[in-house]
Parts: sequence; C-alpha cells; structure tokens
Amino acid sequence: MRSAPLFIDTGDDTVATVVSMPDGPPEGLVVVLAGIGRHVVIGGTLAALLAEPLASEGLATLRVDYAGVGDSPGVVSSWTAADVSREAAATSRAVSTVREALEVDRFVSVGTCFGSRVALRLASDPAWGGTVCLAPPILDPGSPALARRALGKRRVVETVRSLPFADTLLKPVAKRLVRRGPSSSVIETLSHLERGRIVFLYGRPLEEDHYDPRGLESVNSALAGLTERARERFELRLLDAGPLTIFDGLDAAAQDAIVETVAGEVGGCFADSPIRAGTHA
Amino acid sequence: MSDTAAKLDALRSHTHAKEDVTEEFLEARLGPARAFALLSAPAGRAARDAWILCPSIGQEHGNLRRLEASIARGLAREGRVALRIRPDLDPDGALPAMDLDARIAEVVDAASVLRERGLSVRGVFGAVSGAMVACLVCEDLGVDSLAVVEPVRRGRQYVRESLRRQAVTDLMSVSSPDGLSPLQQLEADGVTWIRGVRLTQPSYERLAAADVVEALRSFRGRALLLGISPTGAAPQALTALEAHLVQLGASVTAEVIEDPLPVPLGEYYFENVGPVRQDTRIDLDRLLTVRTAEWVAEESA
Repeated sequence: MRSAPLFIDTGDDTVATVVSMPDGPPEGLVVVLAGIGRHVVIGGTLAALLAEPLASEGLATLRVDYAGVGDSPGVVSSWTAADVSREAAATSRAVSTVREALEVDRFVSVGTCFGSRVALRLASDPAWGGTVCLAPPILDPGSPALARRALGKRRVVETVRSLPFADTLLKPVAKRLVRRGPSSSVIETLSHLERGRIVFLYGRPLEEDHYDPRGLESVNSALAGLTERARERFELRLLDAGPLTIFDGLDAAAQDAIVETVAGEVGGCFADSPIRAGTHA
Repeated sequence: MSDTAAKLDALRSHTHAKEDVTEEFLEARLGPARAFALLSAPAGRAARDAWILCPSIGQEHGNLRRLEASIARGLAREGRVALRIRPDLDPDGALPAMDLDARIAEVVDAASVLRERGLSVRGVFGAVSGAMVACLVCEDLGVDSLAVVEPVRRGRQYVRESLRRQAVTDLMSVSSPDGLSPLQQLEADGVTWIRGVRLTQPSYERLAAADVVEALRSFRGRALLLGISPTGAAPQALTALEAHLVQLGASVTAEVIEDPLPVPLGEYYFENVGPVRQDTRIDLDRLLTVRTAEWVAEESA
C-alpha cells in the first residue's frame, strides 16, 4: 500500500486529504469521513487504520480534513449534523477528483457521527455503491437551536425568555419546536437502497452513539415502503466495542475489532452493489 | 510517471490566494514513523528563511493541528517557509506512539529536507509538548529563534498528567478494561494507551527524564514565550523557562495572553451548545498566530 497526501480544490474550499492505494490498480474507492473532533492524523484514525485492510482487498481509500479542520484552510465556527451541505459538496468533489485520478467506477462511503450524515448524502451519486454509518444520528435537533446557529445570536433568545409570562406563553410553542424529529435527509437516503447497501453500526454504551429507538422507528416506517430487495440491503448492528463516536480514544483491541467489522461491511457493499466494483474500461 | 501518479502529483500543492500562501506536501517522509512533511511558503516570492513547527507528543497533537496550520500560514505571510510534521501510520501499520525520540528525529529530518532545498533553518516553534520538543532540539539544530506556546517544562509532569487524565476517562467509562490504572497497566505489561495513543515503558522513562530547563545549556538567540491564562498570571513553566533563558543570555519576550480557556490548550476545544458543536478556540488560535508572526517580523525590522 502507498499513501499520498493531497490538497483537493472542491470549489468553495480546498481540503487536505490522504489517498491510500493498493499496489495494483484499485478496484474501487472508499471515502471515510470522521466526526467533529480531534484527529491525530489527517482525516481521522479510523480512516487511517482502515486503509491497509481495504488495500489488501484491492480498494483505495480517501480521507479528508473538512474545511476549517486540521490542515484544511478555512474557518467554521459551529457544526451540526442537521446541516452538512458544505461538507457533502466538498466531499463529493473530492471523491470525483480521486475517482478520476485512480480511474475507478465505484465508491462506498463510510462515516462516523457527523461524518455519517455526509457519507449518506453521497448516495445520490450514480457511482455510489453503499454506505457504512458508525453512530449515525437519525434525529435532527429542534429548530430554535438551528435558528440560533444560523443567526449566531443567543442574546435574542435569552432576551425573549426574560420577558414576563414568557414561560407560560412560549413554553408550549418552544416545546414543539425543540422536539427532535427524524432527519429528512437520512430518511430520504433510504430510497437509494435500491442501488446499494446501507449499514448502521452502534457501539456501547448505545446512548453515547446516538442510538434512539424513536429514530429507528422512523427508519422502519420508511423501509416498509420499499421493495423487499431494498429492505434486505439495510442492516443495523449493535457492536460490543465502543462508543464508536470516540474511536480515536479507544484502546488497540477495541479499534481492531471495529476496523475488522467496518472493513467487512465495506466489502459487503461492493459485493452487493448492482454494478460490481471495477476499473474503467 | 504513470498517468495516475502524475494526476496525484499535481495535487500535492495548492495556493491559498486569499492568504497569499502556497502549501505543499513533500515527497520526503520524516523520522522512524515516516511522518508527512507539509510546507507553507509565501506565494510567488522568495522566502527569507525557514521555520520548523515541532510536533507534540501525545493525543493533544490532534487538538493542535489547526493552530499549527494557522501559525505556518502566518509565518508564510511574513515571508518565511514553515514546515509542519504530520503523523501517519508507521511502517508497521500502527498509529504513531508517544515517543519523544521519534518526534525529535522527525524535526532533525525536517531540518535536512529544508537545507537540501537551500533554505536556512532560522527557528523552531512548538505548543504544549511540541514546545518541549522545540526546546530540546533548538541548540542541536543551531537555530537562533525559538517560539513556544504553553510550554511543557518537565516530561515527568506531562506524562503523569496524561496518565491521570486517562485514569479519569477509564473511571467514567462503563467498559474499563481490567480494573488496572493506566500506570499500573504500564508497569505490568510494559505498554498502555493514553486516549488512543500507545505509550511503552521505555518511552515513559525517556519522557519522564526530560526537563527543558536542564536541557537548554547554551541558547543565546531570540525566544518568544507565550502563556495563556484566564487571569493573566504567568504559568510556572513559562516563568522558569524565561528565567533560565535570560540567565543563558537569550533575548526573551515573555507574554501571557488572557483567555477564558474553557479547557487547557491541547484539550478538545469544541463545546456543545444545545445540538450545535461550537468551536471555542478560533479567536485564540488567531491571536497566537498574529502575535507569533509579529514577533518574527520584529526581527526583520
């Protein structure tokens, strides 16, 4: 396996990435997307550790520092899994650039937490062959929090809350607004199961990995409307190791177990993809 | 060169037009763990000289990468080349361990790479345990400028504190492996993990023996020592280092930046505000960059 660190122009941003390649021509590409956190290596520890087992299966990997993170230029002051549009657009461009350079037709996405939302957004790409999500949040936060993020003005909210009778008058409204609901982007992505596998992995303790029965109910409802073949392509697994959200901080034994599971699921995505992995004709 | 290799090679560098900085991943790999070398340089103009940003030793490296990138770009805007060191999987396919000698070897290799490119290595920068690395290499490299942020003075204190933090994490975890504290595990097995980073007994002993005040014996160049504190009080390590460098005859600028510092520099700096994860370090990273770049520019003036 050989690795090359690269800067990829993604339109609005430039991102620092590392591409790892098998010794022979790669049969497919796996883009691995981290959550928001400290990452000792570019793109995160999981991505780096996955590179070798995937290379031994003939697969290249791409790992990315999002804009404003690590070695990628830019400033991003706040993050929420409910809005990954900037990261999804940039990753999509990076995947296209690397696919073209490596001359591979198919890719599979892997993401942890925030990164799982980005990974799922890539499913609309015709070259997509599946997604493996680690600790995917299915529910979105309520609207006031998002509005606050968009406006960046917590004082306005605090002022309104300090008004007389604010609690009595506003509480019922606020309660409805802050109630978390299933993410439409996650639910809509399930329609892509006609073309590839989607795997949700949660570690333990489950509550630290965004596992939420209410979110899974929404997933089940959405799956019910799909064909049997599509439903078979969805899988949810609960792992003994974890939490997956803090993969970087786990000991070697736990990391190895998770890497083996994820590598196996990625292999399953390529095997199950209606258009098999392969190089350009 | 194959078509694929040529396409990838073309992506090794980029020019950051807004910042007037070019960045390039070099072909060279550094040290026994084969770290990446990432160069920042002024775009379209010759550099005066070069700086090396020394990598930190433990898990804090992940939390300091953005600061280092910011400092490197700040130095490049001032007309300097800045090389930062980025760990990757080592030749055994493992992540880099807490290894002071490996970090020092990376800096020494970085200096060779810069000199091979015809650049004179003027200074070294480091934050937290990276500052300790900078202090330990500056005399051997023969640099005349040293810039450090929140320096670790004693390796023993640093590694003990790292072990303590892991012990606290284990206590809070439902899946604490075998009931042994990380220090006990190190003594029993010769290896332990501190927040995902491997520490062996020999590395522990090497780190525990390091003391920057004892190691600095002849540095008489310029030194910038930056501390950070919510009250403006100078950290003890900073004052000890300042006094020692002055005694050696160095020209020392020591400053303490007042910052609320919700968590110590080197720790995870995102704060959950409702469902939004807020970056608490943007302003401080900017301030440290501006101050370091200004100090470097003062030399030219």
